[in-house]
Amino acid sequence: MTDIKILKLDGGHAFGISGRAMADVNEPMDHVMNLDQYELENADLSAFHVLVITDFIDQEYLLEKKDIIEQFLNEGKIVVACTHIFRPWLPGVNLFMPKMIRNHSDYEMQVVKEDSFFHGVDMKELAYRKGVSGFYSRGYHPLTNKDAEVLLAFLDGTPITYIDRTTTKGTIVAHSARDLLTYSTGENSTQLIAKQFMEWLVEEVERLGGGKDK
Amino acid sequence: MRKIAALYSGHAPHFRTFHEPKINQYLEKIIYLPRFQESDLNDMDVLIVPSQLHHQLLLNAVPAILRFAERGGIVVAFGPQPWEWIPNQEWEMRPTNFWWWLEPGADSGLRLVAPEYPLFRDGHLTIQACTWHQHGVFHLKEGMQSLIDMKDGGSLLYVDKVSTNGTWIVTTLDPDFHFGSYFMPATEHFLVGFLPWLASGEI
Repeated sequence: MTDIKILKLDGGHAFGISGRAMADVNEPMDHVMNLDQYELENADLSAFHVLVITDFIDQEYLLEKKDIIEQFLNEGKIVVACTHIFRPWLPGVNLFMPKMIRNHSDYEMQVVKEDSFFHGVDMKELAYRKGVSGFYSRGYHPLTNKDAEVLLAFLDGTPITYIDRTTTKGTIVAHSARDLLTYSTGENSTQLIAKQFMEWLVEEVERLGGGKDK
Repeated sequence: MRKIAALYSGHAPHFRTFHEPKINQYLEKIIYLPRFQESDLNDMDVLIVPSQLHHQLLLNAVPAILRFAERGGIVVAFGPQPWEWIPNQEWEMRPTNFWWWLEPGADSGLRLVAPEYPLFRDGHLTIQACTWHQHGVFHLKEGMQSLIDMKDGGSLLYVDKVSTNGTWIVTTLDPDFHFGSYFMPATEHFLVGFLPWLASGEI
């Protein structure tokens, strides 16, 4: 198995420190190094195969540094965005649109591609916690690239998670929901996501040639 | 109307909260925190310091915020405060009970202890508009006034007119995050009541 190296930007915010609500987003993980977001411009990214952006990252800054992200992708690497993108810092991604919600069931989702890291995840367990929906995703990035592969969508087809392998030489994972590396809601099928996502990342890094320029 | 400035982190929840027209119209200035300068506060009456800011950038701005308060400014602080920067701050983190409202005899634990305070007396907010969950409480020093207590001790929302020459409105609630995340309707009720009060209410 390829020993992949993942760089995750850290927003330096209160939820991110140990012992706080949602701190698991920045808990130490194998393969994952956290980096203060504003160090992106100084960091040597050559050793990393994957760059992960989550909800508390400064997108004004990412827009200023979009060339770094585009170059990373064009070296045949992977960028994973788990947030609502409101600035065009990620190649080929349309800006976030909130889902129109009239009923709690409007938050329900479907797996569009069964052979994906959402395989085996119960969509009710993903949409609902204790009968309350809306914890996972509240909107979408409208597709621009017809070649993009949608993995997870709302029931009306608007995409929550998609993979774009053609806009750049690398792979973009645009995900308008919670952190793919850490999300689970307890002892249920949502635990599969993080595990299967990590396995998928390893396969994708290998498919891309180990992060070497193609 | 008071001139209100808000510190802006550049992340998605704050982007939505501060750019939503009904909130944005109350803001004289959105100050992008990485470029914050003390002169940004000139002529401002109120500064909103939202939750979930990059802590080092926040701490860098604190001396200017304190000077703003000493000049008589009004400072609003939202959310959990694991870093000490608010005058006479005593924050206690508590586990977040996201599910109190599903428990038998549901009790959020919030107690409105100052219904006569203009924020509530004049109809800007109700206790329901302050009710979702909390991440902890503040313990107050003499002279500070709690508006909402928690039943097991500590304050959820308080006003401090004694620690500086200005006014501090401090709450562990984090509506800036939740509204900006498109989640939890009560947080919208809070903001649409709170901002008009900040702009022209009796504080």
